Order: sequence, then structure tokens, then C-alpha cells
Amino acid sequence: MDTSDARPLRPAGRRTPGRRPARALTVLAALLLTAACQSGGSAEQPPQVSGDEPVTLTFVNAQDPGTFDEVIAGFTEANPNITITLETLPFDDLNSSVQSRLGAKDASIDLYDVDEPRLASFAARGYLADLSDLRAEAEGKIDPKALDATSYQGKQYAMPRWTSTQLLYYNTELLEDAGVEAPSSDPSQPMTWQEVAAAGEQAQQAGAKYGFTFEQVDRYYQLQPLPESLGGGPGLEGEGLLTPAVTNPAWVEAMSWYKSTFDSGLSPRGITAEQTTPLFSDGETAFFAGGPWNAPLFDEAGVDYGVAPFPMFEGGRAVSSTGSWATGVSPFSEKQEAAKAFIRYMTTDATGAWQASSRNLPVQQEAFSRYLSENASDTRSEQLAAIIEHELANNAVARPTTVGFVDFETVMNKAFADIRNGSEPAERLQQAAEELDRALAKYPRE
Amino acid sequence: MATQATVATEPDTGAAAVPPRRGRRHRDLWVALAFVAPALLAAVVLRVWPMVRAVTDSLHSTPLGFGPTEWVGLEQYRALLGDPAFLNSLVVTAVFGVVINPLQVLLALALALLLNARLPATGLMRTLIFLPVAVPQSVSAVIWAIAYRPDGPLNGTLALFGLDGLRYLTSPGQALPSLMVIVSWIGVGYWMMFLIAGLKEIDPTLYEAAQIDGAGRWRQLVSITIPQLRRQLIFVLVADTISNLLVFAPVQILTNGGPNGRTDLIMNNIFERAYVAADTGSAAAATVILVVVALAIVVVQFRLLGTGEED
Repeated sequence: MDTSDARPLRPAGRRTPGRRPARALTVLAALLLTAACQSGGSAEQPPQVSGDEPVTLTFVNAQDPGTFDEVIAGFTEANPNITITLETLPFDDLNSSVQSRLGAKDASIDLYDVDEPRLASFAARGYLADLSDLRAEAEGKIDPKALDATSYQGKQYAMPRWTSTQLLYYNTELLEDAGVEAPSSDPSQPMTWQEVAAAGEQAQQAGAKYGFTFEQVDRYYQLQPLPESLGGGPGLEGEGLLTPAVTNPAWVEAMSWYKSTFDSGLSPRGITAEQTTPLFSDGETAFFAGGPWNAPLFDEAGVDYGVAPFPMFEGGRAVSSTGSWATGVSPFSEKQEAAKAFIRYMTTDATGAWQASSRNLPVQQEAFSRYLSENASDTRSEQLAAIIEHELANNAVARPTTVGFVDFETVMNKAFADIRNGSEPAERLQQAAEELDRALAKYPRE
Repeated sequence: MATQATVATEPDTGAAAVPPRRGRRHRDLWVALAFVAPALLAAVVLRVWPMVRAVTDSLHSTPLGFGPTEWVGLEQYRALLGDPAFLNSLVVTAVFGVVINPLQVLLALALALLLNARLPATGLMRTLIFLPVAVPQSVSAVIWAIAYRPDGPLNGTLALFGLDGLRYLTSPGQALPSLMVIVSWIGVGYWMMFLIAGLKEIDPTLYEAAQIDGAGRWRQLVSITIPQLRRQLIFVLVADTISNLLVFAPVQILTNGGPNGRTDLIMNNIFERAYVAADTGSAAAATVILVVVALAIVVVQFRLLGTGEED
């Protein structure tokens, strides 16, 4: 399509100013043409969204309702012609849904949330538009580690929004009732997993329904620190991180501990990751391994809790999960410039990044400082902020960046679920390694 | 088949005998074609084209599931049939089918007989049994997920009687039976409706005659009801078998194929190939295998039960 096609229509509109239908048609035609041209090539257009044509962007994500209310309000105030529609999916469906729609070159998604370790596989499949022009603007404003985590083969494929780390929450009352000493909040003094299990069992004997639970049961994100703490590595090694390494003794030991927490009834089986937070906020569980985003929920629920650093294995090292969500643009979107403008505001702009942080840790550096200072309003939040800062600086271990991550995570999450349900760790990990060998064989090794 | 052939040949001979009518016949043909066209078009677009596409896709592959594909031919099928995960899903699907199909048909028949008898409030009962069909499968799955929780209402009820709780979906042994309960809860009421309709069609004089001859209830069931209901039973068995081959939502929502792949029904396996591993080629190959299996089962079922043509 060529914009010149639109010109003959304009004089016609001028000749008959009173005729609304004609004018409406002109506007409509112009709109359609602009939209078509935007999809064709945006080289001539300035980086900012120009013009007043109304644009509606569809933002596919897996966040809690309300997460983006503030940032959307902030953005649309400055860009009244852009409307952002949220399409919120359950976390477990986000990737498969995005993959199936983008695989069919569906233009109905303009921007979507990308789980950082999946970026490489999405980028390699051509599901993400190149955002390298946004990177230049973000340098010095966004944590460089986060920018690296969202680039693949030298190109920026999504803009990082948040980072994360893990904490150990404990229910003060349940521990007191059981006569268990509260864990130290000193970031350099984490409990060991063995101590958590023992203290949790004591609390159960004193009446707690469960002793301990992970927030994200059966998910690699939160379980990666277990084998890493024992020196077992992330589970992938070799060229392009495409060779499974999940059967070493550290992995088996870590997974045996994981299994034991369910065998003994310390943690519940048959409850999905979406259903674990209420177990702690209802005051039924003594210890809860979760992220900083859980704290406001526990505040709201009014549960009496304390925070401690994320545990480690006895004789191992302290390791905490990290990484979070980034936002990318669909290469099939016809409104890429508008989508980029929103992403720029949400990630690089200090105000936008703060508004978009919701209960999470922004990677925009000004917004992160603000997060730490604003949250340190009482002793507990000061402790929380200190732990977050310490974990991010010292213990954070990112998930492996590889084109095979989706396959890896899928296979491992199933293995975790089976081990939780009682499968023998050594056997099940061996099976996972075989499945991974098959699943990863399709990726070319350079 | 035979009747169609005779119908088709008759006008032909007529046209040969009276040539002037040929123009009208042609016009009739066009009109008929115009009426058939939408259905034909729908059949081609919705059935033939996807099937052709599935077969061609199954012979191609791409390492990343996106972009240009390359011809791999039957290698795709060889790899698929050598994949223990796929073979496992075939076995699980077979076990599921062998147990659930007879079970559902028998249950549906029992309920249909019960509700066809002159009992009080049968209308209400029928509605209640049919109701789960109207609930979307995903919603049913979520409801059952709560029921099956270790601290959920089912184990709560067991505890009332001093019994230990079951593990349901978290146990490799109980997960598939637990799914069968859900799928039957949804399906039995639906199949029951077809059988009730069939029962209503049976001529009551047959029963009267049997009673005069001194036949008991069992004898009446075996000698009148079942033979008279054969066509409905065949339909229900075939349609139920196919629908149970295609069970997907409860698996995807509740177990993801676990624990230990014990509930990895073939549709879930195909879905994961296509949309999790982005391996369209092997998903298409698995789909083709599923269609072949479904066709084979249906053919065997029709053969075993007779097509009912002699009626």
C-alpha cells in the first residue's frame, strides 16, 4: 500500500464539508492506510508515536489483575490516542497460547510478557521483534544484567521490567506456639533446608496444618536453587547449554529432600502453585518460601509474619532464584511503534517503571532505589529490603539462557511434579535426562 | 450403498429414452449442486483440507518449529514410534478406552432403563444427570480439582467415616481412574439421553406379548430391549469411543499427563508436541496416527455389531 492512495480522498472531503458520512469514510480510509503502512515499514516514522489516530494495543500477560492499572493510566494520560487492552492468561497457559498464536502469525497480539529464560527460544523462533533501538535509550537506566538477560545473539528482543529474588517467610505465632526460635533476618545467616524441615515439623506437632511450602511447587524457577546450593549446577551444560546434567549426586540429593517434605506431610501434595499463597496467608503454614511480591498479600491478609533469607543446604552455598518478566513486541503486530512507545514508558522511564512495578522489584535503577526506600517503612520492611539487596548482589543465579529452555523447563517441571507425588528421584531424574536428550536433539550445535 | 446406485441409474435410462429433457436435467443438476455446494465447501474447508494439511505437515520438520520446513518423510513417523513418551501415551489411551467405553455405555444403559421406568421425579433426575454435559469441560475439571484436593471434600467425607484419604490425581495408580470418574460424570448423562429416546421407540406391545408368554424382566431385557435398542447402542458406543479418544481438557487442566505419564492421553501428548515443544511436524504425525487408530476402531466396532442394515 502507498499513502498516495489516500490523497484523492482528502479534497473530496473538503468539497463536501457538511457531509459527515463522506468525512467519516475518509478518516476511516486514512486510518486503514496508516495502519497498513505501519505494518509495512516504520523506517520513516519517528520513534515516538505521532498523530492522533486512535490505536488499541493488546497486551498479553499472566499477571494478577490490577498489576498494570497504574502504568496504563500514566501512559494513556500522555498518549490519549492509545488504548491498552489487557489479555490476562494463567501463567501455565501463557507460553503455549502465545506460541500457538504467533506460530499462526496472528496479528491480534501487539505486545506480550516474556519469561526471561524463554526469550532465547522465542527469539530463535521469530516470535519477537528486534528492540535494539530501545536498548540504546535504556543503557545506564536499566540494570545491565537484566538487559543482557533479555538479549539474544547481540540483539535486544524484549525490555526487562522486573527482577526477583527469594525469601523465607515464617509465621511468628505458629513458631512461638511450637517453641521454635524465629530465624535470623540477617541476610548472611540463612537457615539450612534441614533446619526448616525440622522446625516446620515441630510447628505441625504444635498445631500448624503444614510445616513448610514452596510458593511455586514443581516449578524450575523456585527449585533451581536446591541443586545449585549443593553445587549440582542448573541442569544443563555444554555447548549452547543443550546437554542435560540432572543426574549428578547433588541433583539427586536435592530432589530427595524435596520429596521428603511431601512424604512426611510437611508440605501438601495435590495443591498447585496458584493455590499455595493462601496456605500461608490463612495462617495455616509455618514456613513459606516465596518472593518479595508475596509480602503485600500477607500484609493485606493480616497474618503475623517475619522474613528471613532464602535457606541453603547444610555445607552448600546460599543461592536464590532471580530473573523475572520482560515485555516484547510481536513481529506480526501492525502497531509496533505504539507498542514500543508503551514498553519504553513502562521500562526505561523512571516514573513509568515505578508505576509498572506493582509489588515487584523494578530493574529501572531509579525506580529500584525508590522501591527500597519506600518499602523500608518499618523494621520488617527494612529487613526485607536488606535481604533483597543482599540476595540480588550475592546469591542470585539466573536460569540458563538457551534456545532449549522451554523443552528443559517442561521436562523438569513434570519431573518435579512426579517426584513430589512420590517417584524415586534418581530414577525420575534419569528418565528426565533421557527425555531431555531427545527433546534437545533437534537444536543445531554450532 | 446399493440403494444409492439404483437411484442414480434410474434417471440415466430415462434421459436416454427422452433426449429433449436433457436441458431441464442439466438445470436441475445445477440447482442441486447449488444446494449441495455449501455443505461440500464446508466439508472441504473443515475436513479435507485440514486432513491433507496434517499429512503434509507430518512429512516435514523444522528444528525450531517455525520458519521453513524440510522434507523428512516417514522418518518423522519412525522417530515418533521410537519415542517412549508417545508409546506410553498410546498405551495409556488404550487402557483408558478399554475401561471407560464399556463402563460408560453400561452406566448410560442402566440409567436409561431406570429413568424410563415409571418412577417418581424421573424428569428431575434426568435433568440432574444430564446437567454436567451443559457445564464446560474446563469448569468441570476445576470443580473436580477442588473435590480431589488432599484436604478437599472427598477426603473430608472419607474422614467422617474414619477412613484414610485417597491421593486421587497425585497417585500414579489412582490418577487415571480419577479422570475416568470426571469424564464419565460429564458423559454418561449425554449418552443416556440417546438410549432413553431409543427405549421410547420400542413398541410396548412387544413387552405385553412377552408378559403373556411368561417372560420375566431379565428375559425381556435380553430378548426385547437390547435387540430393539441395538442401533442406538451402536451409535452410542462408536460416538463415545471417539469422544473418549479425544479427551483433553481435564488432562491438561488437572494432571498435565502425570504422575509419571500415567494420564498422558494422546490428545494431551499431541497438544504438548504442537504448542509446548513447538514441534508441528511430530504433532501432525501423531494426529495422523490418532485418526488411523480411530478409523480402525470404528470399522471394527461396526463389523462386530453389524451395521443394522438387515433391519
